[in-house]
Amino acid sequence: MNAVDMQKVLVADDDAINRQVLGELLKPEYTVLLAKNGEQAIERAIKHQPDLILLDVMMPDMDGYAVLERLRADPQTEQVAVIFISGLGRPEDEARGLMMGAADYIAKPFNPTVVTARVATHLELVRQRRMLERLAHVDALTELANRRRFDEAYDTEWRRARRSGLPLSLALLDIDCFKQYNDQYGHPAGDRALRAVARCAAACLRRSADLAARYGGEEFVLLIPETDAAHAQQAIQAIGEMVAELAIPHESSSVARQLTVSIGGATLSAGVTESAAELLEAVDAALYRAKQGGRNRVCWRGYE
Amino acid sequence: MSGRIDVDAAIACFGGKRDLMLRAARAFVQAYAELPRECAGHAAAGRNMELGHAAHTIKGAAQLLGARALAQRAGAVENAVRDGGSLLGLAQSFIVELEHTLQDLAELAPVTAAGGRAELDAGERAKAQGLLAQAAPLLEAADYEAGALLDQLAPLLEGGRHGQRFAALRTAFNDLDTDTASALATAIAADLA
Repeated sequence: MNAVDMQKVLVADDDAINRQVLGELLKPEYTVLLAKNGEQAIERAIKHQPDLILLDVMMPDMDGYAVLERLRADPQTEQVAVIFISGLGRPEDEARGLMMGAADYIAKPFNPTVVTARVATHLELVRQRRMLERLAHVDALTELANRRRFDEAYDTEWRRARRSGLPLSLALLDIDCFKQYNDQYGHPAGDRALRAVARCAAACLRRSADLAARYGGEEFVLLIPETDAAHAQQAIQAIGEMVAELAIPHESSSVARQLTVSIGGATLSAGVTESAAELLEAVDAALYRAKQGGRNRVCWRGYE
Repeated sequence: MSGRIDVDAAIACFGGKRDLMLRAARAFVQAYAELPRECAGHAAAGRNMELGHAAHTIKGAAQLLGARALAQRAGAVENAVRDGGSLLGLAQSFIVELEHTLQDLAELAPVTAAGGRAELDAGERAKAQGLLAQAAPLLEAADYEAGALLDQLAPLLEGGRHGQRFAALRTAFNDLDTDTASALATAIAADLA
């Protein structure tokens, strides 16, 4: 496992010796970050997004319970797993921590083997939860984002665009004559073609906020925030050109002897009152015009 | 077992690493050398909360270092403060045990003289610069791994021209004053260039 893949554990304890012991125990397997008080713990949790926090209950500025409360109240840290490590060994202390949402409670003096085993167990749970979350948002065939992920991202970006007044571009891409392709070459070949087009879409939308998703069947949706129509069309055009360069044979296409795509798009501009659904309808209408106009082309609202 | 310190139990707490336990013992002695005097002041002035907090901190570290009697007495003070009980006798017993434990730990893990080089040759300078460059972002992120890089730098920088600033860097990292630690690493690297 390389450093990029290593899970992160934040050790928050006011005692340097405890931090050192836990750091030594955990560093062979994880990236270990340190905090000496509650404020540092919260700041580092937000900045570094650890997978797990080992949190001392008694710290001078803010106790561990208050830290946990603040972590749970912040959307950026509400999901992070927390294990309390404390010299307060009374059952009511342990119960309080667990009732507040801590994943576990380890009493000092801790046994190194038990600490590493419990940390490993909780980090495995975190890893599995993240994997399930990822799978729930990924299209299994193309490995692009799925429709659910797009719906969430589109809602977020549309609201952001309305607030910021920055443009938001959206496009739908449809593989031309895909039914005929499947009929002639078979469904396994159709799946390969879908994956190839998906790779082109992903390759051309490289900014972290851009999103290429499978919309359904042979349709893909392309979300390009903070981008005006001219620049969005350049990115979209590049997808069409990349698909053409693949030169995937399509003898039964009415458009060309190779696989082609039709794309319709629109841009939400500042000051225009248009709902998210209306923008999507405009994009769908542009795609319809691209198909009606002979396919293998890009139609963009206001640029035809 | 060595007097007050159960060395075997302490080493076990440090995952079987004797070196690490000795480093922690040294750190304990350095960090808490003044604590008996401070605790005596708290006890005399009736600052029970402060005394209770010191006892709590010492209890955890003492358990890890195999100082059972100290952990027990610190725990008794902590409980008495929390429950509002009498500290009569308990505070004094805790302070005396802390003094003796500090002495025993200092004997067990004496501070060794810095063995750094007054002047580094070109190869050593390059090595130190490389290590400092690696360390700077880790120091800034309070990444524990930075400590291992500082250990590699110690033989090159301690006791030499950069010794004082390197010591300040170590102290800043141990205190998790990450901005200072990172700035010192960058400054030493620039000086070596």
